[in-house]
Amino acid sequence: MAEVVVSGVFKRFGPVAALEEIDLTVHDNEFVVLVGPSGSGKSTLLRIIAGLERQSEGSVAIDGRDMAGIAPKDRDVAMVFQSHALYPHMNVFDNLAFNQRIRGVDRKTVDRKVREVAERLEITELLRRRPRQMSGGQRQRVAIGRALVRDPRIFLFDEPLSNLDAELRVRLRTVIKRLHQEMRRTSVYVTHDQVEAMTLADRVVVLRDGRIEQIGAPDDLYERPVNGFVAGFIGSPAMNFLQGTAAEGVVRIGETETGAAGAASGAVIVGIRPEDLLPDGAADRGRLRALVTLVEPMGADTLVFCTTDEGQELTVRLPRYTAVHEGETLALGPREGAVHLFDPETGQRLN
Amino acid sequence: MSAHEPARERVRGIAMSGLKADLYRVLKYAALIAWAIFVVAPFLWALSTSFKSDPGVVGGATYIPFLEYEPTVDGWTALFRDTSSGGISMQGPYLSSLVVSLISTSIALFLGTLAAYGLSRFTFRAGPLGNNDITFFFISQRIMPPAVLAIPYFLLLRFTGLLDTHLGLILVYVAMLLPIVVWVMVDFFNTVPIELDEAALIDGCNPIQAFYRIILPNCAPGMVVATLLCIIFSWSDFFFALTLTFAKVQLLPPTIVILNSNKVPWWSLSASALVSVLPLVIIAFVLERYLARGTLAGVIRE
Repeated sequence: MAEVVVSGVFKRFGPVAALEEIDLTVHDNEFVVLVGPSGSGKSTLLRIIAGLERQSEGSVAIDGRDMAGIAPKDRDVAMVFQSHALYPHMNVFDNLAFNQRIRGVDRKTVDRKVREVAERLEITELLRRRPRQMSGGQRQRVAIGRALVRDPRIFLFDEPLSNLDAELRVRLRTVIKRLHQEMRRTSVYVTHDQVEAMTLADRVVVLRDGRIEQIGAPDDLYERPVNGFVAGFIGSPAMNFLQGTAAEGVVRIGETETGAAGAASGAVIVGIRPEDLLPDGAADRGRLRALVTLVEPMGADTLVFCTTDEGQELTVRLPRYTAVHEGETLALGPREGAVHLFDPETGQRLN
Repeated sequence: MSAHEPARERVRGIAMSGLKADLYRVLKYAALIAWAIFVVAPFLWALSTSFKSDPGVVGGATYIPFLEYEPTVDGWTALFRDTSSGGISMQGPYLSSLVVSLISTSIALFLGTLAAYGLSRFTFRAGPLGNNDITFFFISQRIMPPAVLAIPYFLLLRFTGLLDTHLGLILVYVAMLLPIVVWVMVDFFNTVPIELDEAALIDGCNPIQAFYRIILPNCAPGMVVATLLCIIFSWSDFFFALTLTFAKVQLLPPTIVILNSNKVPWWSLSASALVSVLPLVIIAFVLERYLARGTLAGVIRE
C-alpha cells in the first residue's frame, strides 16, 4: 500500500510561483508521469514529494500520514536522478549497498539483495567498477538498481533518461516499464518527453507554469485534450492547428467544410492530428488542398509537410506505401470524429 | 629497390623524431637537475655547516667534511643541551610549535570545512548580504598584513589574559587559518553536485552523515591541500610567535632566529634549521600522492 495525496500545494521562490494549487492523488501501485515543458514545476513537485524541498502551502500525505517535518530518509521513498548521482568514491556494489548499510541491515541480507538486483538489471559484472569507469547507460542502470535495493513504498524518477542517447533511452524505458509491471510499486516519474509519458504512464499529469492542465490516461489525453496546450504537447509530431469558423455544427476551414459536434460558433482553432488527415481522392472542393513541401520517410510511416492554399502549415502522417513527392498537391480530409475544436482566446476545448 | 625506398624513408623519419625526442628529454632533465640543485644546495650547505666548528666557518667557504674541515657533532648536540652549558635546549620550543600548529590546524580544518560546506550548500541572507559576501568576509581577513594585526591581537590577548599562552596563540592561528580552509574547501564542495547530498538524504542519511560519508570523501584532495597550507603557515609562522609569546611559551621559529643575536653559532643554527624543516618534508612526502591525484586527475570529473 502506498498512496500519495498532494493537496493544495503551492511553492513560491520569492515572488515567483513555481507551483500553484496542486491537487493530485497517486493511487497505490500506480505509475504516474508528470510531464511538461521546462519550468512547468514538475521536478519541484517531485522534490516536494521526496522531501527535498518544502512546499510554501498545502500538504503531502503518504498512506494517509502527513509528511510535514518528515525527513526524506524517513519517507520510504527511493529516487533516481537525471545525473544518476552515484557516489563517485564507491564501487557499484557499495553504491547499491549503501542505503541498506546506513539503515543497519545485516551484511548477509545486504549482500543477497545487492546480488539479486544486480542480476535483475544485468550489472553483476560491473559490481567492482567505479561510476567513472562506466558508460552513461550503465550508470543509470546502477542508479535504478540503487532504488530497487531499497524496495521502497514509492519510486520517484526525476528525468532519469534525459541524459542518455536516443537508443539507450528507449531500451531503459522498456526496463523501467517491465520492472513496474513485475513489482507494481507506486511510482512518480518526471519527464519533459511526452513519448516517455505516454509509453510509461498509467496516468499522465500535464503541467504548465506550475499548474496542472490535465490529468488522465495516455489515451484520454491523446483523444480528448482539454485545451490547446495539452493537445499540442501530447503527440509527436504535434497536432495541426488551423484557423476556422464554426456555425450550426459545421466547421469551415478556408474553403473546406467538416461536420464537428458541439455548439461552438464563431472563430475556432481546429486541431487535427497528423494521422487523422486522410488524402482521399482528387483535389475537389470540400477538401483541404495542400502543397507538399517536404517528405520524411520514417520507415513505418511517412511524414508529409504541406502548406494549405491559405498558407497554413500542416503535418500529415501517411502509411509507408503512399507515394508522395514534393510539389504535389494533396486533397486532405479530416477523419470522422477526430476534429478537436478550441477557443481561440482561452484555448479551452469546445466540442 | 624503389619499393623499399618509402619504407626506408619512413624509418629515417622515425629515427629523426627519436633523435628529437632524445634531445627534448636531455634538455628537460637538464632543466630539472638545475632546478633541483638550486633548491637542494642550500640544504646540503646547511647540512655540511651543521657539522663544522669555528675554524670551518670563519676561514672562508668550505663544503666537504674531513677534506676541508674537521667534522664535529657539537652543532647537533647543542640543540638538546641546556642553555647554561652553551646549548639551545630546543625540545621545549619544538614541542610547543608542534602542539600549537597541530591543534590550530585541526580546529581550523574542522570549523572551516563545516563553514565551507554550509556556504556551498545553503543560502544565507542577512539583509543585502548573501553567501558570496560571507565567503569574501572570510577571505578579507587575510587582506591585512600581519604587521597591522599584531598590535590589535596583542591588546586583545593582553585584555583576555591570554598573552604568552599556547591557547592565545592557537586562537590567533585559527583566525589566520580559517580563511584559507574556507576558501579552499568552498571551491571543492562546489565541484560536488548537490544531487549527491540529496541521494544520500533519500538513501537514509541525516545531513551530518551525508556530509561526512558522501561529500567529504569526495573532497579529500581539498582537505589535503587545506591541511598542508595550514601546517605550513602555523609551523613556520615567526611574526605572531614573536609578538604574542615571549617567556612562558617559546616557539621554534623565534628560538632559531634569536640564535643570530651576538655570536652566531652557525653549526647549531644550521642543525636547528634542518630539524625545523623536517616535519614539513615528512608531510609533503606523505600527502604528495593525494595532492597530485587531486589537482591533476580532477576530483570527480565524469
